[in-house]
This record gives sequence, C-alpha cells and structure tokens, in this order.
Amino acid sequence: MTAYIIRRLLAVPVVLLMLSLGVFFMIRAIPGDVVDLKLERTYTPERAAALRAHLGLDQPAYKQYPKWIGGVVTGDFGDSLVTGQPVIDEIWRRLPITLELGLMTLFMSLVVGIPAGIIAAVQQNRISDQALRLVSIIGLAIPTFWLATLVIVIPAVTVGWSPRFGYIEFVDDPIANLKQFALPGAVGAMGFAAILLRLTRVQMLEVMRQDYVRTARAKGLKEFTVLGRHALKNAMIPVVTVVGLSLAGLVSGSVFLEQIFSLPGLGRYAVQSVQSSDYTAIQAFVLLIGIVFVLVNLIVDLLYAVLDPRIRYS
Amino acid sequence: MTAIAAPELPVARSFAGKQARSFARFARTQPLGTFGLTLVVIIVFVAVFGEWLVRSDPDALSNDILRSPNAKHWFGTDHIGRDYYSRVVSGARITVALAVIAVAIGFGIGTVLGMASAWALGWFDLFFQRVIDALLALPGIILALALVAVFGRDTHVLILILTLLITPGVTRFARGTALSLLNEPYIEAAQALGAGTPRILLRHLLPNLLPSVAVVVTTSVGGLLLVSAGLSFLGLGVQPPTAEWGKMLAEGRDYYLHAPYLAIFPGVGLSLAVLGVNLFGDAIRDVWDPRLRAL
Repeated sequence: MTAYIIRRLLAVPVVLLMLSLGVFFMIRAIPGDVVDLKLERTYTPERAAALRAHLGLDQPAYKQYPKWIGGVVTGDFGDSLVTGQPVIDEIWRRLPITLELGLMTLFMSLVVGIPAGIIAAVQQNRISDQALRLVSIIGLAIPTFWLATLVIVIPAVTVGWSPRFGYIEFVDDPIANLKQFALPGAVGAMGFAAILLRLTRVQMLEVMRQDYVRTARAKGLKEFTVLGRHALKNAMIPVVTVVGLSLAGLVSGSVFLEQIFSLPGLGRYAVQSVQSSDYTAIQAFVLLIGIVFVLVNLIVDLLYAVLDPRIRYS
Repeated sequence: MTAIAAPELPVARSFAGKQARSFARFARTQPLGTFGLTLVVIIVFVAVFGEWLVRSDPDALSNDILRSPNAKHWFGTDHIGRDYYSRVVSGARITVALAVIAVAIGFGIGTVLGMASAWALGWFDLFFQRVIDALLALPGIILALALVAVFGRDTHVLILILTLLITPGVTRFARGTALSLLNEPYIEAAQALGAGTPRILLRHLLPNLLPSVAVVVTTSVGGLLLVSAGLSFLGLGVQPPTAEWGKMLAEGRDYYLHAPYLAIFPGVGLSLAVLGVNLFGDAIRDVWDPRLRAL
C-alpha cells in the first residue's frame, strides 16, 4: 500500500501543473484577439496596450507563465476585468455563502438519504423499499433548476407565498440567514439524498449477508445493535468516499441554486464572470476549484485505502 | 459408408427470432428498464418526427400572448405568443441531437484513446492519464463554464463541452478494461500465432471492449442531458430562438405567476428524458455486468 500512496502522491503535482497550464492558456485560446473583443467600441491603442499588459499578453507565454504562477502561489490571482479589484478578495467574500449552502445541502442529504437507505435495505422488496427506490429514481431524474423553479412557482401560485430574496448576513440575523438556506439546501439535497439512499441500501444489503452480522445476531444482540454497530459501520465505507466525491455535485448545484435563489455566492460569481467575460475571475475560479478537487480526490483515495484494508493496490 | 445427415444447428434459426427472444427476456426481467427504453424511444420518435407533430411553427410569434392551455394551444402560449406545445415538441430534437452527437464522438474517441493508452503504456500512458486526471478533477459545470468563457455561447461550443465531459471518463474506463482484457489468454494466443498489433487491437481487443464501454456510456447520458439543459437554462448553451427545454424554463421565469404552465411542460419533457436513459442504462448495466453496479 505504501507504494500505492507514494505513486498517488507523486501524481498530484503533475496534475496540478497540467491544470495550471490549461487555465493559463485559456486566455490565449480564445479565438480572435481578446483585447479587440473586450474593448469593442472603446478601443484606443493606449487602452489596448494597458489591457494587453494587464492580461499579460504583451509577453511571450514562457515568460508570462512563471510570473503568473508565482502570483498564484502567493495568492495573487490578478484583478477583475470588470471591477479592477483583486479577484481573490471577491472569492473570499463569497466563499462563506457557497460553503453554508453546501453544508446545508450535505446535512440534509445525509439526514434523509442514509436512514432512508437503511430502511429500504431492512425492508428489502417490501412496499416501503419499492416506494423509496421509486422516489430516489425520480429524484435523480429531476433537474435541480427545474425543482428549484417549481418550489418557487407552486407556493406562489397556490397560496401566494414566495421565499424572501436578497441575502441576509449571518451576523445580522442568524435565524433568517439559516432560513434562507433551508429551501435551496433542500432542493439541492434531493438528488444527492437519492444517490446516498441507493448506495446505502446496496451496501447494507451486502454487509447484512456477511458472517459477522449473522454471528452478532446469533449471540443474541438486539437487532438495533446489529444494524447500527456491526452492519452500518462497514456499509458506510464506500459512502464516505461518495460523500467526498459529491463535492463536485454540490459545486454544480450551487451554480444553479445561487442563481435561482439570488444568493451572492461563488456559483453566481462564476456565471456572472462568464456573462461579462471577466477572464481573470474565471481563471482564478477554475484553478481554485481544480486544486480543491485534486486534493479532495487524493484524500478520498487515501481514505479508501486506509478504511478498507482488503483493497490491494498493485 | 452411409452419409450422416448433418444435425440441424440451432444457430441456423433466424437472427430476428433470437433478437426477439432476448428482448422478451429483457422486458420480463427488467420492467423498469423496459419502461425507460419506452420513454427513450418515444422521445427519439418525437425528436425525429417532430415536424409532423407540431401544430404550428414553433418560432412563429402571434398576438395570443400568455394564453393558458386551450383547444387551439394545447400547452398554452409563451410571452411572445409562440405555441408552447410546438416548442416543447421541437425541444426534443435539439436535446436528442446534442446527446447523440456528444455520445457518438465521446464513445469513439474515448474508446480509441483508452485502447491506445493501455497498449502503449510507458510514458505516453503516464502523461496522458494525468491529462485525463486534470479533466476529471473539475466538476462538469465548471469545465463547461470555462469553455463557454473561451469559445463563446453557441451550439457548436455546447457539443464540444458535452464531448469533453464524456470523453475523459470513457477513456479512463476503456483503458482499465483494455488492460485487463490484454491479459486474457486469447490475446496471448493471437500473439503466439503471429498476429500484428492492428489485428490484435481491432479483431481481438475491440469487439470484447465495446459492449462494456457502451454500457458505461449509456449510464452517463442522463448527466449529459442535465448539463446541456442546465447551461441553456443559464443562457450559456443553446441560443434563441431555438426551442430548448432548459432555456424555455429560464425564459418563462418572469411570467410564472400568471402562466405557471410555462414552468411545467419543458421540465416534464426533460425529466422524462433523463428518467428514461437512467432506467434503461441501469437495466442494461445490470444485465451486462452486475459487477459494475456501483450506484
């Protein structure tokens, strides 16, 4: 396993290098001249030169890349092409909102998905199992942005209720702050709870067939103890890794949920930056998310190797 | 010596009959999968024959603005008087077309690259797989946003995005499967008989590789549909006036209070499409290889 861990660790810098190269050459890959595209009617030679320098297009790539990556390492991702402010400041300001939404979503999916999966496994092939599985199949098929639309439209049309839009800071009103995340969190949780339900169910069914569970039953332990202490603990191993990998789903979800529920988080920032062609913001965003995910994938892989010693890596 | 009558081979029975029997078995053992397949067939049918199913030009404006569903406009009309039924029907076409193109390209390129990586190994494999790692590290929607930022909002860009989303996963899976298949005795036998590289790859490896790659591709179509409709919902995918379900949901947002039906029909179409491919994908995965049943 040591060899596997070393190999896995060695891959990380290579992947990060590829990622940074990809992000760096993003601006240079834009068809046509970015400076012309960006300035359009406000074009003057001075402005063009300034923007070129700002984007680092006045120097060849082999000179610019080390400079750019040096900035990135020290936390300087450049200034926004829209506001002129450092991009990283905006990202730090918006990060808590996306994190709170993500945590809310994750919490709700865990609280619903795992118990539902256990119930489905214990009641295998009975009505409740069939019903839960049906719900999870449907839950996976409904797009987040449609469900979000429906939970806003249906109450508005039927009972004249609609959620408050406009972001409330936690320090101003903690209850209202948490409340505003409840609905988007629940919408985002649906798809993920469906995945957790299916996975927990399959894993529990697998584990409940094992000898040590039969032994636990045979020695007269209560069914609750057997399920909780013996079965669930082992069934959760793959679930842990899926929760780690689900971060991707949370980020994707936040893009839509923040847009629809008017939450000024990172997902909304990403969409706005694309709409306003704020290239430095997009670069920073893609690179940071990429780094986070490379590390998350690494942790998940290592965790998997540690948690389940039966897995051998040659 | 009397001639022995050749025994009648069971193989000689009609190919069509065999297909029908194996389909009947699929329908019996996988009712949900069959339901999914039915949904997929219906949506593909609507996509192909949409021109004959619409009741008016889906892009034609009229003075009937925001009319509730009625005898003339089955699904009502939108904010500029377009017949919503015709738009929902014609929305199937772009959805199916994008998915089919992206799947075809991703399936082809992914299989070839995965096979090449498994056969070449060494530095090429090591380097190439790190590129795949980098692509897989990004959540799909982020990769998509970055590509829209670079190449603009356009249906061609959407095809590029969907292809780039599906190909790395297919490549990784094809490589893994090819690596294990290359250890099979029949590959060694072919080598011992002096078969060259192209022959081994195309005649021995590829036919055994394709079915499981096809299964994995099928299970990822649902996600592709969601990304493509999602980008269009954000205004970054299919551009007006083309009728596309995700974009229709976004266009209706300002009018939902007076015309809630605008929020229903495109969403139903999209969800049924995703449900169909998910159910069918799960079923053929279970039939083909129960070991792949991860989620």
